[in-house]
Amino acid sequence: MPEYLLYVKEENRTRQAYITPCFEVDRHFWEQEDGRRLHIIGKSPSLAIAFMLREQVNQRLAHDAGIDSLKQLAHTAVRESSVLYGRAVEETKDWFQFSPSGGLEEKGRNDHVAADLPIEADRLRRILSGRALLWEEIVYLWMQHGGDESVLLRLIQWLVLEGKAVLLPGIRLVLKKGLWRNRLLAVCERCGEADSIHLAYCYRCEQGCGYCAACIQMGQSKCCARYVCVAGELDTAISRAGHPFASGHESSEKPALLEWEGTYTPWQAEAAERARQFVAAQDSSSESFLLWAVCGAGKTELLFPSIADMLASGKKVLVATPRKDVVLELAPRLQRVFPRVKVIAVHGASGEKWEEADVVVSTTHQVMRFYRRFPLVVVDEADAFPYHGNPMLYRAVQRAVALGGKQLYLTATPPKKLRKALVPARFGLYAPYSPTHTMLPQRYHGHPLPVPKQMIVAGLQQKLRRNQPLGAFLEQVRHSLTDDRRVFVFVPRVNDVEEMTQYLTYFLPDCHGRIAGVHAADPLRDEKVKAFRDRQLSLLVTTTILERGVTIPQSDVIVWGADNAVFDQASLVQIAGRVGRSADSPGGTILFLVEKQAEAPREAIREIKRMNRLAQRLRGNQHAG
Amino acid sequence: MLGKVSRCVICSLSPRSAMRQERVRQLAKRLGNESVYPPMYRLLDKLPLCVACMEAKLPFQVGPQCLVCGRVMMNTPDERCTDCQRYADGHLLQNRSMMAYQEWGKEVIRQLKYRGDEHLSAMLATLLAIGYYRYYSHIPFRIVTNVPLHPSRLRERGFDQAALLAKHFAESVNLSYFPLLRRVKNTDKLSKQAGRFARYQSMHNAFAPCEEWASRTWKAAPHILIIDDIYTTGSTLRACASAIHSLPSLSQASIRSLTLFR
Repeated sequence: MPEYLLYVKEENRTRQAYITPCFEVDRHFWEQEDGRRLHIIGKSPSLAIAFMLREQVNQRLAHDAGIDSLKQLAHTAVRESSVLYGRAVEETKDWFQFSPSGGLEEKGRNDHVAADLPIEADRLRRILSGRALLWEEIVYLWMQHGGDESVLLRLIQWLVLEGKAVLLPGIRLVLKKGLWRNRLLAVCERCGEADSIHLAYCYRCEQGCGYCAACIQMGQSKCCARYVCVAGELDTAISRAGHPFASGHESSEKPALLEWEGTYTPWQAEAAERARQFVAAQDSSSESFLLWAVCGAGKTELLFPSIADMLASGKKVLVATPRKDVVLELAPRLQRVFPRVKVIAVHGASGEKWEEADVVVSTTHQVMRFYRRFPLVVVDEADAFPYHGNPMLYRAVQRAVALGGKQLYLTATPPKKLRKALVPARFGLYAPYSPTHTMLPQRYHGHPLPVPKQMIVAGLQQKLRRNQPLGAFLEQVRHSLTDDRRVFVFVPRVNDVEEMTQYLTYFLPDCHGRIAGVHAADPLRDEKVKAFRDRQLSLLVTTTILERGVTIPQSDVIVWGADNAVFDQASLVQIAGRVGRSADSPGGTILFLVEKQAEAPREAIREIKRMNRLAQRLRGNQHAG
Repeated sequence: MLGKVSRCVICSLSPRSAMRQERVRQLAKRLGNESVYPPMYRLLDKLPLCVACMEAKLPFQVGPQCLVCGRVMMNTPDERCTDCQRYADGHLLQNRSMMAYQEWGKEVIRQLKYRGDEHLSAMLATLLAIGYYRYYSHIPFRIVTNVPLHPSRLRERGFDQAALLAKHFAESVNLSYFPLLRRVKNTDKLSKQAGRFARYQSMHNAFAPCEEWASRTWKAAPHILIIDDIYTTGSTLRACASAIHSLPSLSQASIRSLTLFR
C-alpha cells in the first residue's frame, strides 16, 4: 500500500510544502543544489488527504509557522476530516490515517536513485505528452512502450518535481470552514463534478475513499487514484519526424494540404474566412469563437480552411463531437480532404486511442483524456446531448486546449451561455459577425429555412390514448405522402413511439408496412433509418434521438406535443432543420402540434424567422455591394 | 452526498410516469402473495427504473422451480433437478435466484464488479429484498452473511460487492448482517476455470468460518442466509455452507442462499 509523504522544503527563507510517494527521488532532486533543507511533516495512505494537508500547510506557511505547529495542524485537520467523513457516511470511526514522523530528512537515506532516471523520465514525458490519465492507463501505456512498471512512480515524481507533470488525486477533498459548521467537500479532479461522488470505504488504500459516478465509464476516479496530467508539446510532436513541414521549408514550397474539390457559396466563403482569421490571429484577445450556422448550411466544410491553416504551421487539431457515429463518419471525410496528414478517430472502443496524430476526431468523453495538447479545438454541435447542460464536458474541452490555444464552437443552436459570451447583440438583434463569432444564416442552396407552423389542439395526448382521429394531423400526413414525401413524426417519450405507430397504422391503413418507430434503445435503429432513407418506409415515428445528423431529402416533419419539456428551443430548431436540406426541394412542411401555448416552440419559430430575415439582409447587402 | 437517482438506470429516461403506480401494483401482485404485498410494492416503487424497463428488462424467474437450487424446470415431474439429485451435499438447504442471468444481468454485473460502480449495489440489494419477500418471507433468519472475497482480490478491486449487497439487503429487510466467513484460498477467477469439477475442486476448503462465532451458543439451530450475486453451479455456495457447518456451534444451522442471477 503506497503512502504519501508530506514535507516542507526550506530554501533562502522561502518554504513550500510538497507531496511525494517516493521520498528518495525528492531528496535526490533537491540535493543537486545546496542550501535546501527538507522537513518531513508526516505521511498518509490517502492521496486526497495528503493534498488537502498540503493546501492547508501552504496556507499556514505564509504566516511563518514552525514545523511543530504544522504537524499539529495536519493532525487536527485529519481528525476533523475523519469526523466529517463519518458524518457523511453515517458511521463513526477513524477513516483517515496520518502518522506525523521524524524531523529532518531521516527517511530514504539509503535508497539510491538510478542515474538514468532523468533520461527515462523524459522518455515517459514524451509518451504521456498532452494526456491526463489515471494510473492504470499510464501503466498500460508505459508497458506498451516497453517500460518497467516498478520505476514508473519514481519517474512520474521526477517529472512532477521538474514541473512537467501534475500529480493529483482522482477525487479532491476540501475541508471547508464555515461559520456554522465545517464541511468536507469532494470534487472529482477529472470531470469536476461534485454531486455525483459516492463515499465508501476502499480496500485498496484502506481509508475512507470515494469515487465519481459521473465519469466512471472512463475508469474509476477515486480519492486514492493517482491522476497525472502532462502538458503537450506544441510544435514538436514525436510523429512529426519525417513530416513534410518539419524541416521548415518556405510556405511556397509546401504541397497543398487541403485537397478538396468542392466550392463555397459566397456567404460560406466569408464565414470560413472569418473563422480562419480567428484561428490564424497570433494575438487574439479572445480564445473562443462561435460559428453559428443554420442547419444545412454545410458546417463541416467551413472548417477546412481553419484546420488547413493550423496544420500548415505544424499544429495539432482536435475535433470533438458528441456522437460516436459522427466521429466514424467525420474522420474518413477529413482524411480524404487532408490526405497528407494523419487523422484518427478516437472513441471508447477505438483501437487508435493511444496513437499520435495531427488531426484527432474524438467523442466528447474521450476529450477528457487530453491535457493542454491542441492549439485548436473544434467543438462540433456544441449544444447536443452530452454537452447540453453539462459543464463537465466544457471543462474537458477547456483542458484539452493548449496554453494560448483556441476553441472553435460550431453549432446551429448555440446555448445561452455561448451566445451571451460570444455574440454581441444590440436591442435584441444579433450582429452578423464580430471578432468572436460569425453567423451563417443561409443554407448552402440559398433558399430560406422553412418556417414551422404551430397548431394548438386541446386534449392532444388524449386523442392518442383514446385513438381518436385528429383531422389536421392525418390530413397533413396524407398530403405529404401523396406528394411522395417522407414524414418524420417526433414524439416526446419512448412509450409514445409504439402508441403513435399503432395510431398511424390504424388511421392510415393503406400505409401498412411503411410505418416504423425508433428510439434510442432500439436494436434495429440503424436498419430502420436506412430503410427510411431508401424509401422502403415512408413514415418514421421517433424520439429526439434523430433530431440531428440525419439528412433525408424530400421530407416533412410533424412534432406531436412540441410543448413537452423534452423539446427545448434548440431541439425544435434542429428538428425543423431536417426539412428542405437538398437543393432540388428546398421547401417543406413543419408542423408543431401543441396542447397549449409554450415558450419553446414559439421561440424556435421566432429564431428561424430571425435567421431568414438576417439572410435576406445579407443577401441585400451583397447585391448592393 | 449520495446522488439522487432521477433517471432510469437502464434507458436513462425519467422513471416517473402516470401509469407507473398502476403497473408497479400489478407487478407486486404478480411477484408475491397478499401477505407480502406492502413491502413488495414499496421495494418495487423504490427501484430506479422506468415502467417500460421494469416490465421488459427484468427477467424474473417464472415457472416451477427445483426445490433445492431454484432452477426453472419445465415438463419434469421431479421436484429436484438432476444436478441437485446428483451433487447436493446437505449443507446448503435451498437456493433461490431472482432473475435469469441474461444480457441485462451481465451488463449490470460488469458495471458493478469491473467498472466499480458501487452505488448500483443499492439497487441490486433492493432486487434481492424483493426476492426475499418472494421466496423466503416465512423463514425466520437470524443471520445474513455473504460470500467473502480473498484479501488480495479485495485490494485489487477496492470494494467488496457481495458484502455491500448483503449489508444493504439486510438493512432493507430488517435482518442482521454479520460477516461469518473468510476466504483462505485465492481461487482463480471463475472465467478462467473450466468445468464443474474444476470449480468444485478449487472451491474445496476455500472458506473458513470466523472464529468469534465458535463460542456463541444458540437456543435453537439458527437460520442463516448467504447472499451472492450469481449462482452458476452452486459450488461456491455449497462450500460456504459446509464451512459454516464446520463450526460446532453452527453445525445444526439451516443454511439457505439468495442470489440475484442464475
